[in-house]
Amino acid sequence: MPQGASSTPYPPGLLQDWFATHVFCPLHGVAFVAAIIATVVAFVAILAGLQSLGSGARRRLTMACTFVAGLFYLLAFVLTPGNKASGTAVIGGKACAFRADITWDTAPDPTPQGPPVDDKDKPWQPPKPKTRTLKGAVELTPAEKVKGEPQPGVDILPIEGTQNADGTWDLKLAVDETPVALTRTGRSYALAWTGGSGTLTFRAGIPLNRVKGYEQPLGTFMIIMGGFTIFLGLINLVMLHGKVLLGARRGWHNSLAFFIGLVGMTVFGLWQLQLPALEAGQPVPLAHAGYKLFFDGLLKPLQSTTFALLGFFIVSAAYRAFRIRSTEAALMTIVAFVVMLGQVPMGQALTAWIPADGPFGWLRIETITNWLLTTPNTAATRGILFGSVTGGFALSLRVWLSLERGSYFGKEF
Amino acid sequence: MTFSPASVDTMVMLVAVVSTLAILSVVYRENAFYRLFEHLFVGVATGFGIFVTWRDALSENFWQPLSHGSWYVIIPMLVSLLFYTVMIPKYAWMSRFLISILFGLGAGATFRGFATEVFPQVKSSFLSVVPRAATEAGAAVSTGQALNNIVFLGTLICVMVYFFFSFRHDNKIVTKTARTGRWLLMIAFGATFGSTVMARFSLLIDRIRFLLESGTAMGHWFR
Amino acid sequence: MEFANPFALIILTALSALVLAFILTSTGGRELFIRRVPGVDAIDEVVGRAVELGRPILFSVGLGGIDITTLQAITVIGHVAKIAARFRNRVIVPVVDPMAIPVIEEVQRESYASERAEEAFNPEDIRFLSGEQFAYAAGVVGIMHRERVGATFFFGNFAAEALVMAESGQQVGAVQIASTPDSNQIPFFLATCDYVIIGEEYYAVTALMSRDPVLRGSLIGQDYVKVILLLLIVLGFTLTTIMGPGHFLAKWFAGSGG
Repeated sequence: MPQGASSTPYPPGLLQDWFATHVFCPLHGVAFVAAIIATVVAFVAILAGLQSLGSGARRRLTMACTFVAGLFYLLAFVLTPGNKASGTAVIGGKACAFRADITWDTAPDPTPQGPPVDDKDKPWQPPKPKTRTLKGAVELTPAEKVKGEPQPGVDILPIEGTQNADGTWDLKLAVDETPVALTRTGRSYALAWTGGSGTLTFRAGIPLNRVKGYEQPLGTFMIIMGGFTIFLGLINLVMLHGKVLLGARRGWHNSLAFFIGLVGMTVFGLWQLQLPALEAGQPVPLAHAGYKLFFDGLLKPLQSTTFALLGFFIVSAAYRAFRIRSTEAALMTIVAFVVMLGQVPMGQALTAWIPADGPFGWLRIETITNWLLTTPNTAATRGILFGSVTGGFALSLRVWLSLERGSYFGKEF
Repeated sequence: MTFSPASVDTMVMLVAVVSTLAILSVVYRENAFYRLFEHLFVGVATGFGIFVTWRDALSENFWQPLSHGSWYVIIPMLVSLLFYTVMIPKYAWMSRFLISILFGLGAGATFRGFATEVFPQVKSSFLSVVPRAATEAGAAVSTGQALNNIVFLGTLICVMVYFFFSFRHDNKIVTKTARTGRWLLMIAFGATFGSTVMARFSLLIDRIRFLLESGTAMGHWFR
Repeated sequence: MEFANPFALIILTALSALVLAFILTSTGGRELFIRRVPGVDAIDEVVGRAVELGRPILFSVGLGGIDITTLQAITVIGHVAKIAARFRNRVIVPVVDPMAIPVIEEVQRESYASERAEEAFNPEDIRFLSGEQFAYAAGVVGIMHRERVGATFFFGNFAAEALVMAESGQQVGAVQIASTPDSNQIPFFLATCDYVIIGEEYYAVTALMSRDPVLRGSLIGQDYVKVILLLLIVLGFTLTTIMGPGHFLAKWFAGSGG
């Protein structure tokens, strides 16, 4: 896609462009400071308002907001985006199907003068207008007869166009080098090309989904909000280890190690970000050396060694499963053993004497392993998935409608 | 202050060897050496989390827009403060208010997940249990594949019946199907277990190889 | 596909209506049958064993953050903490997502308060062990050994770290109970834990523990949702066997949001 252009298969959110142009646009100088202060004041005022509510009102508000939050994703999924068009073309008295995809496109940036500018250094611009664009084709011959790429003018008639403000479409027939504009009469468009002529009538889907467009800003909102919750974890850890360290309690040196790891990784990580990338063979600045020490010397080997502990633990787990004196556990262990053997050359050698293409070829251990993994394993995993997703679905429904009971829900606010 | 690349690499390797040995030592028993590196690990990983949060989330989505005048990015920051109200009992309900909304969003996403996860898998369970010739809509089904498809569908049905909660197991058909489902689940779990073993061993072999190679390298330095 | 077709909309609406109908039936006072799940019956017993041994309980919610799966685990924490509080026992909850800290803290505080054991609750027992999977596992292993936990609960979404933690639990001699909706880690839990609640049973735990009519009705509604899925699968493979793979039901499902 060219620089600055965008294309989505759904329309912009309701009032989204208006908000982006009139409310959520960058400010500078005094206006910026005023906006920040006003936002903080408004936020505090909202909190004060919330705090003044009684328990019942708090509960009702929470229920309403939870419902709206769930409804948002639900509507973004179920409302039709109107990104399909279909119709019929009558060519030589014969009806042919027309199908098209619709997108909402913005124009690319004008060709830049001078060196390319990084996106983040570009001055702010209001959102560009979106054009509802259609791209599709009339199928001249049934699909099964088409061999290889369909030939424009022989197998298909490519048609593209844009929608006008009044809802009508400007369509072009793109059979030859230069697309030809189609003439509209009422709801029909006249088709004419070197191979024939006819008329096209179609309906474009109604773009009801004015919610989906807000998913991306919501995602950014969640990223920022989630980013600031890191301090919750940090406070938790610092309090715990700080008390041990300052009180010189038993194991204080472990807490010191924690702080060395935390501070070292954070400081060197953030510091090296400010420096140019390291070049091979050049002297290493302290920031990069520290980062390498904490990342390559500590984090990576600690991660991969903890993961590698599974090499020991899987053996002890297998032994434990084998010791459980139940038929079910025995069945699981035997199957595990067969599958493990089927994946190593030594195991495969055990049955290598059976001709692979003979009548008993299916008895070869790698064939049995493959069958176990593709048939019973896939089917059982699917059965578990259907159950789990259904369970999650019912729980979601209860949460969404505030019917959920339990420790976190259903108590006083 | 700068360092030669060789000295940095040597230092990194030494620390990596000690870290590796510290974690491996827990296989024998939990000990002071492991404990020290376990704390260091949590510290380094948390520090890395802060670094990554800044680099990938806050710098790009918060700090840069804010420094270019996008005042409104402070709204999610202010909202995130509601999480911290849990520390003040009088205002703690506000954290519950925010988290309930997040659970609501999660619930909405689950509805979508139901359609996007389950429906394609339901469709791919539509298998032919008799041999068929290839058609435009699908490949040919051989006798062997048809038999396989019967086993596949049988397993799927038995496993789903096993998870029914409201059907009394005094009905013989339900009991037998559920029981078969339990057996088939065990076969499936065995297959998962067996298919993971070699991957886990290769991780361990990789660490042992690292220790051996580092040992050889260090042997050269000290010679 | 990012959008549902009318078929998906009809199915989702019908399934939701079914669950709600059973919730209404159940809250209307009709007693509905639900079979027992041995692992769920064992929850109270496992807490009791830790109390007998005078050792704390470790409850891992896995790698989940603020999502529906973790929510279920959090409800179980509430139940476990309540029994533990009765005997002034501790429940240590290590987490990977800092957003989960306030939720778990609230639930635990409430559980201890309901048993008038506020003094036995220590917010530091909810421990953030970094957001990194294996640092979390290493930290949990350390806690298990240092605190000599008497019982461990693994409830939530787990990945490869599950076996590292469950094997360490075995090493310290803890009674272990695991539950996860994801099938990949179940075999390892089966090999290392005393009780395993598998697949969908994970979502049934709260209904079985509480006898709340809403939860029980919802669980039965869930069963009927699966009956419908099962009927659709049987219909689908019958049609595929008779008509080949290009039939109408396959087409509806193909464009239904997947």
